[in-house]
Amino acid sequence: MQEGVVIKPVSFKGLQVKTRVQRRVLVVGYYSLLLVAGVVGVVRPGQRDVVTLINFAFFSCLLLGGIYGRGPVKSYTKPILPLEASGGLSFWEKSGDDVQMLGLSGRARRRDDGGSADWEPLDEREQMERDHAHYEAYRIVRWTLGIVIGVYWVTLHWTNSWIAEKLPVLAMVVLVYVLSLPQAVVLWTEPEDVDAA
Amino acid sequence: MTAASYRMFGIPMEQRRARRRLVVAVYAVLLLFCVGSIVFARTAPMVYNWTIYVTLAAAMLVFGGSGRYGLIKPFPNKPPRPEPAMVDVIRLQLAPMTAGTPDESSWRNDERELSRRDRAHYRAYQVVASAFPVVLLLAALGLKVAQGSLQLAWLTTTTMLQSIFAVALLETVLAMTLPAAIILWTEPDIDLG
Repeated sequence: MQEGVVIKPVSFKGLQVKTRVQRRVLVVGYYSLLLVAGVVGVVRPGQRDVVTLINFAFFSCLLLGGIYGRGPVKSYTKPILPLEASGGLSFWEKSGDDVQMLGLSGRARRRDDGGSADWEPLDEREQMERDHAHYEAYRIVRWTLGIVIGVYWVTLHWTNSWIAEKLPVLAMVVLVYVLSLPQAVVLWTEPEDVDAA
Repeated sequence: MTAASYRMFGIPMEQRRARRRLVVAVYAVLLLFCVGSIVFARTAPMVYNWTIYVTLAAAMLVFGGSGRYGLIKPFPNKPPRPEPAMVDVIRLQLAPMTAGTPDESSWRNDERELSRRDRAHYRAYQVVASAFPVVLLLAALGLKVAQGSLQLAWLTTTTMLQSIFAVALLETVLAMTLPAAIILWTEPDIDLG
């Protein structure tokens, strides 16, 4: 794994993320899709399926990495999956039989560990990069949500019932936006020579 | 970390203990306002405005980081806007050597301070972002209640909207103040020699 760079120089769902242009295309595409999903969710008449909304939100949050080890951005902290913290074994390892859980049958099966197996702590430069990305993301989020709240406050009289009806979809869009923004900042600002080192 | 003045309300803030007391006191006041806003949300819905104003005042005038006032230097690390010409004229008469050389120590963050600023924002982001899944879950729950697929005596759409309002209000207060509060809380004692 490359030292000192938060981005993993890999292809992402078939899309190369080696150059800055490719990374920026990925970011633009990601937020375009989110925008489309939000508009469709708001415009589409009828009742919304809550489970689909939540699944979509959490799946989208993980796509760029950072939180989870499978995206183009390295995981900031070691991904902890259910049961791993208490037992030292990941969720998927628990799917084996009891003998395997006790570690008596040698190496446990590992289908998907979310990147926790090959996870390495971020070095000092990567941590600085991560922290600075969060600082920039914080500023952007504060401004954008401030504007959104301002618009909401001004139009409250006319849009109150509409907002209440569309709240789950809007909350989903905001959630994905906030959780993915630091990773997007990393992808957007990483200099060109990420793959040259 | 701090701007030119190390005092707040006449109390010296060089000691970490003093700064932690200040942070606790400010959050106690803000919590009081938040509780008031939530309690009076139905009878006096505009009370939440006061909470926002008090939070803004605490963030800008007490904690700092977002302007020239407060204990922490401005985060953007950019020089302040140039003063009006008349100020320069007066200053030239009193101390000509200072003309054109703004006091950098009042706004420029060195490398260590920038690092602490970024780390504080990273930590604050984790806290602030964690409130958004709560809002989504509450909104989804509210939708289920509105659809009639979830029926409990105490759980109404109004209750869910009020819960979302409470979480959003607390989140707004934290978003405006938390990075500066983390810096004030964690910064070691300042030795002025």
